[in-house]
Amino acid sequence: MEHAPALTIDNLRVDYGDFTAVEDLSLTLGPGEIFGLVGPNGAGKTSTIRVLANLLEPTYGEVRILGHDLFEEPEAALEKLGYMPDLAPVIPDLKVWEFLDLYAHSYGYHGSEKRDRVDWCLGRVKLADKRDVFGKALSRGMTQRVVLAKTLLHDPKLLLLDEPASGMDPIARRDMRLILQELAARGASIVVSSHILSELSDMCTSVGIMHNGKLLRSGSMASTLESIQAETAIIRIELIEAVESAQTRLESDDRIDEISVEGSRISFRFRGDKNDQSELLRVLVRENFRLVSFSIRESGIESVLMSLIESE
Amino acid sequence: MQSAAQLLNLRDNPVFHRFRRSQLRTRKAIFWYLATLIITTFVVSITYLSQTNFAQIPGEFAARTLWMPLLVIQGLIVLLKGTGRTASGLVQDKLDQTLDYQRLTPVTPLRNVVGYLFGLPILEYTMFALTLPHLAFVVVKGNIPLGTVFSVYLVFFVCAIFYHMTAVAVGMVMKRWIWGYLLSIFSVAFLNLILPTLASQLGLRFLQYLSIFPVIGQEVAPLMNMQQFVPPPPQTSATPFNENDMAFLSFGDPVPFFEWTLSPFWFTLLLQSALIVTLATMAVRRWQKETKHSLSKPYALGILGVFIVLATGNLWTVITRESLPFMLFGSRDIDQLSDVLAIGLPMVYTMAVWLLCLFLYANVVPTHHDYVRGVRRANKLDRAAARPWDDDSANLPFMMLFVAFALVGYFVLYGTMSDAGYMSFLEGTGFPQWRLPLVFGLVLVYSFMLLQVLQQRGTVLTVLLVWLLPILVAIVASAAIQDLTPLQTVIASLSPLATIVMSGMLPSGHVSPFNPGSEIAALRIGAWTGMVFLIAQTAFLWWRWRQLREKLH
Repeated sequence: MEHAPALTIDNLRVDYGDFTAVEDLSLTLGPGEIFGLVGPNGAGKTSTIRVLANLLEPTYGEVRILGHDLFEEPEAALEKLGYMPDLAPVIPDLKVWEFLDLYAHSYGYHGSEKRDRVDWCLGRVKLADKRDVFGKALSRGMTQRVVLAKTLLHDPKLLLLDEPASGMDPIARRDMRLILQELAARGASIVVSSHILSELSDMCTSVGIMHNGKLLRSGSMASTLESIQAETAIIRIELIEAVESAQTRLESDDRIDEISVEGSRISFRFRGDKNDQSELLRVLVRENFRLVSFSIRESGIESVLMSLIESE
Repeated sequence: MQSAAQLLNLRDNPVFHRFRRSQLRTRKAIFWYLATLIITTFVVSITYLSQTNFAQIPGEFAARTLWMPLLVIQGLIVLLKGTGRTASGLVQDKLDQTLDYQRLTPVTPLRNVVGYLFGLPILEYTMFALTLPHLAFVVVKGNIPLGTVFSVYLVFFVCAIFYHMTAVAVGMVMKRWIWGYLLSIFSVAFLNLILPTLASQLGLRFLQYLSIFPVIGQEVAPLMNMQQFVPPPPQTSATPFNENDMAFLSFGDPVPFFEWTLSPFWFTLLLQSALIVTLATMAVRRWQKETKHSLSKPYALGILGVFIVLATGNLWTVITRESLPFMLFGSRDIDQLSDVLAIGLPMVYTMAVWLLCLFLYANVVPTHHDYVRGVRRANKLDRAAARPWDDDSANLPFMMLFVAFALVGYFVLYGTMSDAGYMSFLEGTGFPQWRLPLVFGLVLVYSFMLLQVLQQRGTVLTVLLVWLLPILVAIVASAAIQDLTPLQTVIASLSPLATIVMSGMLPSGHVSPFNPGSEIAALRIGAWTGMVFLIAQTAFLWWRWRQLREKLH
């Protein structure tokens, strides 16, 4: 089991009645990988994460965590799994240290080892000074940090974090990113979901884009973004004359939308790779449009995501 | 497998420690501690002093009589308040999602359940502990044998665990804490008051042992016999209650069961322990996976089997004339009641088993969502349908097993009654003795199909509109016409409830509380039309299910 992937998902499907939340999802995650699961609300991210945490029964599919079948040997699979839900709660009538003590005890720590572990985790999320505060008195961001501390208690080898940064201030987000990167450097694998791609782009090593229960794209962060950006670009052309007929010509191309005209300049969104872009330029020149410039502007991360989802 | 010692080691149970910390904080608990001390001390003092000073009752007897109010206070604290807190606390944890955290830890489901079971009502247990000095006074001053005290409190705590376990099972299912709280409180009242007083009167005396009362009757009541201390008052000619009347609620009597009589103490312990195991199984299943049914199909079938054995074992003693139910009809002579029993016992059995089957069906019939998931999963594994014992399986053969179990019990009971001569008066009356078991079997199939097709929400609506409304309309019509005519019985026969009752009626000539002679024809028509309606409804549901199944596939 030592060399088994941290997570293998094969053909996972989740249905709620007639609604299919996750459809035939397959994925493999290696050790030390931080995998960002991104998609709009209702894409199936939370359902996927709840299945991986064994809190939701899938319609079918196989999940292996560190080589253990999640549904056949759940105890072994869950032993090294950490889970932080969306809008993670803490127990309101326990103090912060008591809350962590409960889970440290549950994960088999006793005596001074348990106290040390609780203190270490509290220090890690910079909440050592809040150890005697009751759960009900914590702010949203602090609650998230306490739950993150709880998730780190048993030194998990696979972390599932569902929208972990919601409610955190920028400093706490940066701290969380550093913690996750440090854990990954020590060999832990992390699945982190968000509907904000930019939130994940500087933290994740790989990314999967979900929409309507399907994994549209997945791969390394850089290559995935590059491939989407290459396929969806904002192109700006400048003409000497015949701007209107050029606009009409562009409107007839179904790879082009969001056309805007400013004087002699036309901007539009174009779906296609570098070859398609080159072909478009060749066609415009061949059709005798007198171009002064043809420039390609890379889309922002969020617009890339939006265009990909819309195109699907 | 963990040992029982490991399982019950609360010192090493993190969930128990959580509640020890949160529930016993001085600021939170002080109010309840003071309230317990003040109320208990007041009740004990005023009762004792008023008896010794004003009623001139000897101190030893006065101290003994304190035990009952003390038990009431302890019961209110542990059985009622503790049960409510257990259910609402668990629902709250489920809603907060903190239950999910605990689910993911390596603590086994059973240890988690034990932690919640003893942790959630820990405040109530400590409040109980504050009443112990008062109990010590009662025991010492009242000269009560320690064995008696031990027996009563052993059953008290088994009862508490049973009720709290009920609350855990309720809490794992309910979606709002207030409903969990109210339902669990209602369960306590139901198991302590409604079942003992009603079901035991219908011959199902084993149901009264779900409460603590039989053991109080056996162990505590004899201590209250004042004749030990003062001479009995002179006998008057017309006392309102005689000894037989006191037997109306036979708490403390030995438990009749087939040819044996069992001690209420042991029977209560056995019955409640079996139910605790069942409820723990339900809670553990829901703990393992929230979408699981509380009961597996084989376990539900086992529960039905045990219930039928217990019901038959209790009714047996009525048939063999060792005990007498139906005190409500006034007669004390079992021979005068033989026709009432001949009608009543099969009816009681039918109704009780039907109600239990409804509860079990509601637990094992899958939702359409689950059914579709089962089919998709099976298809993925190259199977046509889910495995028969899976939660997702619609599984009509299992339903047929339920029906078979129920009918076997019925015929055993009926055969025994025939052998005992109860049915001899039916000879020559033309009464179709097969009608009630046929209707019984049909009702069981119909109820299953109803849940399968209309699901729980639709079934509740059907109960209101089809099972109860026709009966109410028929009652209003009877009141208006001041007679029972075929019109009312045909209206009532839309309801399977009325059809069962009318199917067990005698055909002619026999006037009884069940069966006034002038209404025989109307009842006969009602029984037959009811049976036709029942067959039509069942056939419709069957057809609808086939349609739905094709659509769902």
